[in-house]
Amino acid sequence: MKKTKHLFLALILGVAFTGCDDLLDLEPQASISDDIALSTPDNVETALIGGYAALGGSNAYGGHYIFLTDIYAAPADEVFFNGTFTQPREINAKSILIDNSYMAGFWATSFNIINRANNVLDALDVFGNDAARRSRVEAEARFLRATAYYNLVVAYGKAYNDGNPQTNPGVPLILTPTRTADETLAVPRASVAEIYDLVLTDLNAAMDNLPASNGFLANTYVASAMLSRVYLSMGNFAQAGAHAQRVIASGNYALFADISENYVRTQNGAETIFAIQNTPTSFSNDMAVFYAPTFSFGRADVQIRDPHLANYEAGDARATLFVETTRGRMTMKYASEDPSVDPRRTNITVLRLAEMHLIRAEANVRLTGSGTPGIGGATPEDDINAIRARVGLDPLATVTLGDVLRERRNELMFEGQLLNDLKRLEISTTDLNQEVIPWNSNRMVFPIPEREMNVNSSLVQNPGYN
Amino acid sequence: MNSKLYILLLALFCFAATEAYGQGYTVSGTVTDASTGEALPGTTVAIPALNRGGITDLDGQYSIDLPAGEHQVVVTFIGYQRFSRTITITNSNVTLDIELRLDVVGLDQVVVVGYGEISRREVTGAIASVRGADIQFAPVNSVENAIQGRTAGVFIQQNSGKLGQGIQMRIRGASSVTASNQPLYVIDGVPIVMDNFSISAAATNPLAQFNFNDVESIQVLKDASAAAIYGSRAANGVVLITTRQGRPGRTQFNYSYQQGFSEPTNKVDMMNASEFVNYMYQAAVNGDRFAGSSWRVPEIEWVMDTYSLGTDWRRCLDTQFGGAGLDCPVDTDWQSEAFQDASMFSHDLSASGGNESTRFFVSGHYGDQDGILINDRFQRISARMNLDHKASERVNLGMNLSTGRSFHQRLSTDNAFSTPIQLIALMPISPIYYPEQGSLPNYVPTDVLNDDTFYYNGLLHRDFTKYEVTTMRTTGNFHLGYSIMPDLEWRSEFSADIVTGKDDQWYSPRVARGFATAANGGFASVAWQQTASYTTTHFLSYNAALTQNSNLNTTAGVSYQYNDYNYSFTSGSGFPNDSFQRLTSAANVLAGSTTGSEYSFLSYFARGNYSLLDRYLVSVSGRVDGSSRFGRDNRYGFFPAASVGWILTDEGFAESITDYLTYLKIRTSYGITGNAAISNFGSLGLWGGTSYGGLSGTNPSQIPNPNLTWETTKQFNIGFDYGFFNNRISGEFDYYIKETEDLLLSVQIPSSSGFSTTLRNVGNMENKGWELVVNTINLDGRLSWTSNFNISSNKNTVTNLDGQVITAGLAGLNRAMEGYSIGVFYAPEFFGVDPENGNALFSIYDDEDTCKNFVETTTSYNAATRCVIGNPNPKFVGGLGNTVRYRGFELNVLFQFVYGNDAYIGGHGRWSRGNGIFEDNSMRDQLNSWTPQNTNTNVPEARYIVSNGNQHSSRYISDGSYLRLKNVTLGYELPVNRVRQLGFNKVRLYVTGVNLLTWTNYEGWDPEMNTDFLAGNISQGTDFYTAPQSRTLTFGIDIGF
Repeated sequence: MKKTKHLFLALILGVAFTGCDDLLDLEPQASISDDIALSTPDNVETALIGGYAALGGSNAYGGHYIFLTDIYAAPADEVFFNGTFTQPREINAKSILIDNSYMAGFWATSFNIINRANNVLDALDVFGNDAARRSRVEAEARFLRATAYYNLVVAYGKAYNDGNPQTNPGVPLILTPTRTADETLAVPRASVAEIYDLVLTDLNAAMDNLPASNGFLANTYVASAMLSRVYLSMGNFAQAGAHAQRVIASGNYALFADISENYVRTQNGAETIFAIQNTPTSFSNDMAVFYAPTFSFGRADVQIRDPHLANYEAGDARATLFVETTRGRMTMKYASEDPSVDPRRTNITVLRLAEMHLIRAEANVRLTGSGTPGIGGATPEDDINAIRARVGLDPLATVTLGDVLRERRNELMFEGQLLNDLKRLEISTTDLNQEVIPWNSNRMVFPIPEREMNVNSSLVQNPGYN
Repeated sequence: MNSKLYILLLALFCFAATEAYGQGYTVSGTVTDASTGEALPGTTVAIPALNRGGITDLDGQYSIDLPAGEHQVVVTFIGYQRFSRTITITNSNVTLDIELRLDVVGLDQVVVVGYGEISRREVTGAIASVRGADIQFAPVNSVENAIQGRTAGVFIQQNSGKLGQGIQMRIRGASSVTASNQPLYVIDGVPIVMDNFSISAAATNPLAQFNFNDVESIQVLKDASAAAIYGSRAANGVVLITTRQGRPGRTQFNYSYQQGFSEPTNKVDMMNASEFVNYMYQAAVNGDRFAGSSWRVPEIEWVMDTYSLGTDWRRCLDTQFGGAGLDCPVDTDWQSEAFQDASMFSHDLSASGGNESTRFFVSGHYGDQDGILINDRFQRISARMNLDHKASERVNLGMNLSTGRSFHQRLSTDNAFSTPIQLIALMPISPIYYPEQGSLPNYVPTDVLNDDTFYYNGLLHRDFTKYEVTTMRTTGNFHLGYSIMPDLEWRSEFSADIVTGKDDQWYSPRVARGFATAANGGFASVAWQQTASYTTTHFLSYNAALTQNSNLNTTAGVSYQYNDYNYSFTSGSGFPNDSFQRLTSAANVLAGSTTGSEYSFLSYFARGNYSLLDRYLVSVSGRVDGSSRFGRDNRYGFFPAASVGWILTDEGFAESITDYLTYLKIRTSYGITGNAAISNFGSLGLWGGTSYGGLSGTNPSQIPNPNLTWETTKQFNIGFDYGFFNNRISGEFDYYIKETEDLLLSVQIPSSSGFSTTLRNVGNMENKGWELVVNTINLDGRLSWTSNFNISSNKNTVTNLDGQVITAGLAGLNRAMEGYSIGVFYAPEFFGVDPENGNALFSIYDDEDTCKNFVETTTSYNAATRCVIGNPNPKFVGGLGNTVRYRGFELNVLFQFVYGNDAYIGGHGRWSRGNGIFEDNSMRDQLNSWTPQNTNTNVPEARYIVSNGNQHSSRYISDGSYLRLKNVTLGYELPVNRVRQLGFNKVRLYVTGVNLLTWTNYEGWDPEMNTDFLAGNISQGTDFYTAPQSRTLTFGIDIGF
């Protein structure tokens, strides 16, 4: 109707020569304005889903959070990026240029998630008396914010155990939504410890207020599992183990009988704690894009070389999750032999139960030692042998810390844990030239993106990138 | 106010006198071309004082009834100088034969301006004109191509040799950083929809449906005085196109056919298989030595084994590396596979004619052109009807209606592995087809294309994809004029410009490596888009002599434009086989969406031109524009302009010099224009839609700015028009300063805010420059030779960006930076090669802001100082046209030049001149890389998988200047008497060459380029596997009957 009116006016106007200011009042059709977007409880929940959408984007868990950090941390003689894109090539070589656009996208999208979460957190008053809904929405938003901050600080800050986290710079700490563009946006870097403090506060609040079940969105055990991972990064094994225990003890999750069931899933399964949900029509999965061999619709860009296979014991089923192709050996964690399955349209597991067992085992072996029941009444052997049994390995009579860590590396390879593990465990890696790169090398911290340095004079560049 | 104006005009009318006149005698004669002596049919012969006249017939004869007395006879014909003579009729008929001289200067031509027209003599602004006849049947893709090099102050550059692609046109430089820098196009009074309907990153040319063979004239309004009547959309200049109109007399038919072929203007020199194998092997040896590693040699052997598909590449490996040192079994010239034999043809048929009350012009066009790249094709079919009818002494009406359809087989963007030019990156040891297994290690091809090349084999795209864009445009303008009084006319115009486009794509699963989405049973998508723009304009014009010596010419009116855009897109995958390409056969519908947008402009405008004694000229104009695009509080803007002119040579004191200085007009102008070309809802805070796991979501997409308004450009212009020696040498000179303020700037903000940019009115930009046009009549007579030379210089400076730097282009190399021209390249400076060890060196400067005070060289790319290493804006552009006529022969030769611009070869420059770090084939000049024996070189040592100068730096800057033989046409018009016997009026045979020769030092394919997927205001001059322009030769015939 409105269009007809405009058309009609367009034809007759001018005969009257009168001003028609309302002819200039047009509204967008594909977007809504700020005031509508957060005006009702339903609209705020829709905005919350927007936060999950960003978390699943290819610059976050849909790709960079997992793929980039893994090819960055892995020794180049084990995992070799042989593709043509220069950005991952630089990252695999551990020689990152400050204008690397993947690295800049990691930063920008993480803060995009944070801004979306902050928008929701700022609009909670619309829930009025509906306290239950309000606290759940708040908790989910804080989970999103904490998850983005955790991934940021791991990539752009020094490790928690590297020097003084109270003074080492982390990333800008921003807790309010952006509503106007002015000079207050030039936020300096908070310390590594301040970022971890926020992550813990947010995740604890999320754990306390999330329901036990929430579809494929975050629930209280998802928050616990993430807390467990964060505490492990900080070297707080008691808390890491306690939160892993909470997830295991919930009884809501169980290890798959076959480890390969974890991969190329289209919905959550028994072992899945939290996964990014891709659909046939809306998906981001850069792991499938880069890791998968060409027969499974991938670019076949990452060769898994012989030294990597030496990590696995004979008979380990995890050593069979590879395929030999004309472009080298590829991991099958993001690929399928079935040509009717397009792995790019499948989910991305972020947290799964095996990791909780591995964390509980590590906490127990460190805190109470081998053979002794620790947190949850479980011995390290209980947890580690459960992991080993399903990949066809014999149980170990006595599990040492070294056993736990080797099991952890082999179980979680290509699942986004390697960078954080190298740093917290102070293990070196190697670059393309077989040069040893220590865990605390400047080269093992992302540079602050050049673009951000240019537009925000409050930022300080990481050492080694000036 | 309006009624007051009416009364005022009515009062003025009272001074105008009407005059009765009697009949009695005739003036008659023949009008001929002064140089050829040929009769000129269709010439207008007028007695202005009596408002009567006639048209010459086929023999160039005319006859007009006149009473006794003194009469001024004025004869005008397009392309010829105006003829004026006063005759006296006493008591008998008068014979007046008239010879018209070719008009090189165009002094007496009518110039179309916004909402009216005036004689060039009275113009006080800066307007460049192109005659339709000069570009008719040019074998190029669109009207902008056709006027390249013909207008001073206008820089036109086609993005690449792909057909139907975007074209950059800058009138007096870029005036905006974020908003559009393209001019406003107005065809027959209709502001043209310039939406780019491309759904890929590469823009298409919205004017490609327009048949420029219908053009009567093109006026480019350059200064504020000329353009301000178009207000908030005039800051980039205005291009007014007028199409042809019939003349009273017998109906003239014209048929034209041409046929020709095209080839690339240039190819680059790539290594052959033997050179490649040995260069890469040496690079691996060097890389291992440099890095102290031992895996690179086995790695390159594995790579060669893999990509030669079992053919014996070691046969051409040098004996020093353990090979046979013979010829390679496979030596593929991938570059030649990117090109095809391109042919083209076109048919044009038109008819025009009419009588005293009705005139018409109708035309039809069909053209079909192959591009020089495989699979590139462009077809156009169009029709036009222009009609004018005088219903009564007071009422006239008319219509211009054109409709056209283009069908375009498009290519992938320059950034896609599937774009043909990227084939050059493939290894020459990789065969085009899979080998017969039995014949290995020799190569006997099968007929199956090789899909195991290092990069995707783009030839698969040629055979197993479809990318068809069909665009239909209908532009119609109905106008009604009512003569309230003889000097006061009301005119109403209603117009619609409706563009509908269909983008139809299909990809077989065979191309999954180049188009990943196709992997699952193929992929198809279709996008439908439509923009409908409706404009209504009403204005009053008053033209009258105020006194005997002064004239006032005024126009005032109102205009409203409403633009409605709609978009729908559907895609699907999973087709039974390659024969099913429509979505109805898709197993999965992947996406379906629709969206739309609108904008409107409401405008009031007025202009007054006053002339005193025919030599003191004053013009004042203004427009008030309102737009839906801006914040509520800043919706209306006022855009005034004023100009004055003085024709010195009409002064009494100049009489003594007019023998050599025939004509001199000094003019100056100042005014304000605007730019509103931003997104439709740029001032609002917006949230867009998204989804996660099947749940719908929203996300903030734009920060609000309620204060957003247009950017304004204040332009000062001073110039003069001159003519020496009875206008044998004539032309014009202009100097201008354009200051743009309140730039509509997409300001980069810290992305820790969750946004990367916001739109603000901040910053200033300046363009200063001059333009010189020299037209000469070198030879006059049976053998005539005329030349037109134009040169212009523009200096663009970004004067204020509120302290920020805006990056764009390939890897952010192009920048808008304060104190520099827009789009400068910014990267480390490549110092050269260390003769000791072959390391690439970059420069470190003490002063990082200006890159002065050289300190030392470094091999560390991160440590090198970032500097301005080039400027993609040319210092000078121009053209030189020559026309030589002798009897029926006519030779036109147009040179075009661009000087002083830098280009960045970011594609094959970096990847095929990258010290063997990549597995791409390299350019042959890399064979000159550093070796212990060859130390005096600037090509760093080849090192496989080691960076050694392959990073973005000044190493990949190349001089983009060129001089080009743009157009050569040799035509022969058969003698009229012979043609008559055959029943024709005119038979002309011609041959035309486009881009026949190019002189340049550019190291890529062709310096006229700007890679399509990045091209923008800041991203300029970047070559990323950008296809060369085409060199075209056509033969044509043009028949009138």
